[in-house]
Amino acid sequence: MHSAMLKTTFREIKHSLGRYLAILAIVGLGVGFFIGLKITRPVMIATVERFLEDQHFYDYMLTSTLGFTKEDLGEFQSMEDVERVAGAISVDVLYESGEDEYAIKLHSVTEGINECCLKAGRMPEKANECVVDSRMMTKANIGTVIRIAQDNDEDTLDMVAFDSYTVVGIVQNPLYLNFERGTTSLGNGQLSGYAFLLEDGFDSEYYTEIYVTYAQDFALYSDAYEDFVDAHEDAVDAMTEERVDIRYASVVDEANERIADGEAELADAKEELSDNEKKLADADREVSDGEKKLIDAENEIEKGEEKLADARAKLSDGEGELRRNRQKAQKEFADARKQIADAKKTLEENEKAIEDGKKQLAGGEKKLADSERELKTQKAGLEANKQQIEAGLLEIAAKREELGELADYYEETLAAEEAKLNEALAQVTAGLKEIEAGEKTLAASRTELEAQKKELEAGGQELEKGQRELAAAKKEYETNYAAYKTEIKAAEQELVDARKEIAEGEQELTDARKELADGRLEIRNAKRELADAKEQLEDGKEKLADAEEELADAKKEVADIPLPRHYVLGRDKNVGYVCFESDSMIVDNIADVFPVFFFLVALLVCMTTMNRMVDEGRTQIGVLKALGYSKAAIMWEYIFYSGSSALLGGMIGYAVGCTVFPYIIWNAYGIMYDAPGIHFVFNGYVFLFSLLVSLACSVGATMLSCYVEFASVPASLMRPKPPKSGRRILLEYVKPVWSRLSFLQKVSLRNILRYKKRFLMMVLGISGCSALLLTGYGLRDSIVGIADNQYDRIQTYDIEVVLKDAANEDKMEALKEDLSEYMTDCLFLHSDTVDVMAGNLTKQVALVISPQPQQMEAFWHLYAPGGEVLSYPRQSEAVITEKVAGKLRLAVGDTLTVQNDAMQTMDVTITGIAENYVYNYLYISEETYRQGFGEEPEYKRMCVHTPDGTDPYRLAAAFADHEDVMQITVTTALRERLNSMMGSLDAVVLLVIVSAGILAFIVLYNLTNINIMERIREIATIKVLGFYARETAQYVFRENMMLTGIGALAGLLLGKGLHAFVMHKIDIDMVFFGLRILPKSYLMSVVLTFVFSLLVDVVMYWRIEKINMAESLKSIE
Amino acid sequence: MGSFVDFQNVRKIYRMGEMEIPALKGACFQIEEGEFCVIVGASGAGKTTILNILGGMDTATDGHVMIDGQDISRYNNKRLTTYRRLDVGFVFQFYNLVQNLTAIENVELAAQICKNPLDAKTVIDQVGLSLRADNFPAQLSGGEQQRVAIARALAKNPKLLLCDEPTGALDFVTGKAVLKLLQDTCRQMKKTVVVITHNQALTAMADRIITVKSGQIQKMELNGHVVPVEEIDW
Repeated sequence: MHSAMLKTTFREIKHSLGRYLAILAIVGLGVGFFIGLKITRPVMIATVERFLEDQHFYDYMLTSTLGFTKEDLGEFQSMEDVERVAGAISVDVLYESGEDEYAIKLHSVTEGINECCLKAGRMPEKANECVVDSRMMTKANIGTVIRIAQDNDEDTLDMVAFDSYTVVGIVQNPLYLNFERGTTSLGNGQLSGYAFLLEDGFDSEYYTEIYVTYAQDFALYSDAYEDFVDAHEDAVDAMTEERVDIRYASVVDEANERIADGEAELADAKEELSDNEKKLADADREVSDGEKKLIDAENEIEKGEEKLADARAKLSDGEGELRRNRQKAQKEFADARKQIADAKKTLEENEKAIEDGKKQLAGGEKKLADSERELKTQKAGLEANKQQIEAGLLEIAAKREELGELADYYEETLAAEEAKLNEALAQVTAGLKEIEAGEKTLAASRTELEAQKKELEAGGQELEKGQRELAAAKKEYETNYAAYKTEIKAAEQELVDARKEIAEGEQELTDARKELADGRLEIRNAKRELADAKEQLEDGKEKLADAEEELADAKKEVADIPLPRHYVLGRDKNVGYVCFESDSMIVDNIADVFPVFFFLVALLVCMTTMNRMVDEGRTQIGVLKALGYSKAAIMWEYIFYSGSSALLGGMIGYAVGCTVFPYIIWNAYGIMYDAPGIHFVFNGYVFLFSLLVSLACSVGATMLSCYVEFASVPASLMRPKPPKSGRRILLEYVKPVWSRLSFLQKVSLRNILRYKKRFLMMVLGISGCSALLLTGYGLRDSIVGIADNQYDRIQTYDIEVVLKDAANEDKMEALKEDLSEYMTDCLFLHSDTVDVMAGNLTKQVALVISPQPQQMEAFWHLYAPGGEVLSYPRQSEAVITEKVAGKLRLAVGDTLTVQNDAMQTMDVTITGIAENYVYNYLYISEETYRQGFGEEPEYKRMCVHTPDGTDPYRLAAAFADHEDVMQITVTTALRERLNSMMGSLDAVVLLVIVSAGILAFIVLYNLTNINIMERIREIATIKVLGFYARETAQYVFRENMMLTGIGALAGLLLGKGLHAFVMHKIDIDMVFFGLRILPKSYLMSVVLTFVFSLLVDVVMYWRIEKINMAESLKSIE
Repeated sequence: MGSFVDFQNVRKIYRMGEMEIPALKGACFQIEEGEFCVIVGASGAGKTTILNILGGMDTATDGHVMIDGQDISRYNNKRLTTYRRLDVGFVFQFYNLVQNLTAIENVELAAQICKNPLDAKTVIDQVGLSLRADNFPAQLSGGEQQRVAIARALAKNPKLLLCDEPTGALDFVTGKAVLKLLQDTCRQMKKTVVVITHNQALTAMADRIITVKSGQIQKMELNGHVVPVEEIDW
């Protein structure tokens, strides 16, 4: 471009910066809004995609009713395109938290698939460590212990290896993309979160599921991905079936083997039992024998005691006799000893006397010897006589022989004596003659001596005899004494023996008694043992019977082992994955609608602005044309002006839209979705497209305006363009109305209609603004209304109590009484999950049965959407909630099929469709349930009204203490949770409101600006005429206000439609968004629109103020 | 009691950045009530500045402007507006009618903001546009438009009627007719009329002639021999 042209262009921009910026802003807004909404879904998807990719989200999840083994993994791994296979264990358990128990899902950590994204702490390293759901715990909870409740059922407890697990980290896992944690059969049916453990943390022999990833790189949610995965489904399914069949066979075999083992064991046990029975009988017999023996022993002991008593008596008798005998004997012996001693004395005296006699004798003998010597000489003479004595000796010898041995004793002596005597006799005979004289003396002496001797001899003989007698007596005594002694000794011995015997007898007896006692004890023990044994035997028998039964059951079970079912679940069965797609779709759908507005408005803004600019530049164009500049060169200035503005605006809008919008919306969604940091996406095509559109808007509008102007010849261009002439408006012909209007109102009305294009644009822009506002507010109303409506209008009770067991009437009364302190009233309900079907549509709903329909009124209201109260359904009737009715396309009078867990079905007629916002309910009567499913409803749910002015949380704690209460839900808490969740949408609403405000401002500013520029002369004139500043401003702004009013009204209509459309696009399964827009929101939308409009007026007021009245004097350009 | 209009040593300096452009350098003149006064001067002599100040559209840098005994040079914006509103009627060179209003409505536009307005219809009749009263300006000829403008000024029943080159955009005949109307109005309604023009010829019909040159009053004279409009030629 020529430098002078460039200069004028830049000067023009500087001069009319407001206008330039207006184009820039409206294009920026349009592009930003479009890009923002358009890119938000890709950004959300990209963010999630990156998350899923980083954590290696599964492609297929395989589950089977029998689980999988390690071998199975290898088989899957070898399949085509399979990248990774991981076996995983998962189990739902109840864990303790304070006094309550909550359900949590425990997963095993899987390497390379569904990896946890660590938010804090570390991954588990020991089997009793775990990482926990980031929605359940925060960093501060690391180190706490999750205690597995002991009232989990046994199978569950068997699955976990430990009683408690220490939390070592906080994670997010792609399996749980959105906030829903799923349902469970435990606790309140709601999983409160998940935790990941090492595989060792489980105690399972098999994997509960297998995750498979493919080597693929398709975009998330893309058709290509779907096709790819679908193409592999058959193979996976077949493989799964095959593996499951193998597993089934092995399980059945194993079971059969076990049964066989069991049977063998049973047989052994039976045998043992019969042995035991025999043994028991023996023992029984033994015991009775023992008892008999015991009795015998007792008798014997008695006898023994008698005998012993006898023996003792005898002993004492014997002792007495012995004593007496001894005394007597001793006396006798003492006497005997005395006699002997006396006899000895006498003997001794006799001896002495004999000795004396001997001595005398010896003397006599001496004398005799002397006489003998004398006689010796005579002896020779006597020798001659010797032969005679010898012959006499021979004669004696003969005689001795005759006498025999008897005479031996005396004979010897006698013989000697005789010999002597003979000799002496012979001598005496020989000497007798010689010594006759002496012989006579001698003979006399000898006779004397002899007499003496004889006497002595007699005394000696007597002594000897006495001595002999003494000796004999002594001997006798001694013999007697010895005999006595022996006798005594024997007697004593006997006594000792007897004593010993008695002692022994006693000992024996004691022993026997002891033995008897022992025996008795033994018998008693034996009896007891016997009884025990008998009992055991009975038990054994019973057990045996049980075992038999069990075995039979087991057999039956094995026979009944259901043919295994297996499931091949793609990502499309993951709640988070699916919800995310549809939720992100909402934004996309909105993106299709809103930007159209903005672009349309942007187009109009550009057109009027450029039109005006070209108009203003008429003279210049004429001059340039006259100077010989080409059309293109002249046009270039305007194209550059609008084009650069649009490009700049577009780029700014793109940058802002690409970042701010997704950021805000993602943050809002962050409340529902778990995925780490946002991943911005920049889409070149969308950028180009939006730039092209904005360029088309601006440059197109410019060129159009230029061509219109250029058609004129330079000369006419240089003349002022005649102002647009006034015209009557249609309303003027409606005299009654027109005549009532004030003069200035008439003026404004006519002005409004004077510039059709501007009017249209104003109305479009303003209506767009208020429509956006209304949609934003309506969005919030509908969402906030959910909690309000649900808990203020429908479920009006304060606390919901879930009982451990179903309550019968007595129990209900008891509970009412027990808890009367904490509640004013209560209602018992049956609540259950069923499928409802109509046509080929199915939906899961909560079934509610009230035993006292008339009571339900006070707790749970059934309103038709119009507001009238619905009556509780009777036999074979049902009331369903709005959302279900909508989804299943049902109306009052239609028939609905209800199916329970056991796959039983019943048909009911719909008698009412009830207003409801949270969850989907089906209401039927007791009888309907009973008849349809053939069972009694279980009243486990209790709705409670608390006394006014009490803290429901505190009361809830009191309820929780009751033994029958399993779980408590405070309505306020539900409401808060819901509100906080929905509060996320406030960000979106704010975004919409701010955008709407900006839109309104730009449109109004721009149009008012043009309006003022166009009418600057008129305004100046009016000022000259003496209109006060306020009046002048009013003169201009009244039109704005009217247009704002018209636009706002149009906007309300538009907004209502837009709101309905948006709400239709936002469809969350569990929640029914009523198309509720509060009057306040209508009001607010209008008021805000006016506020934006006034804001523009305030800015413009100064502009009007600055208009120089001298303008009015200027010639028309 | 002074004159109806009394310019006392009025100075006006426009500031254009660093530059100071004196537009009036101590102008003094008087106009009596009921006079038909023509202020004449060449382009750039300062007559528009006089008009602006006289009409309350601008303020004097220095000096006093007494209108009917009031010093409007000391007025603030609001009082100036009130002055314009109640005391001054304007007739512009290019009529400055509101295009979107019919002739009579243009008159009403002015009339409705005054204290003692004349009846719009009567005024329209007076300017001889009874038949064109409901026409939009675009449907009127230049002369008719200027009549509407005069009617609009008159309807306010002002003390002072200021006319800026009222014939500037009109052809000779029409111009004459318009001037006649102004002169008649002055005479009949006893209005003080000030016509600002560069056309010396018009001075002949004026009671008082003020000649402006280079921001100063070169000459102020009373016309002893007032010529009727019909006889003026230019």
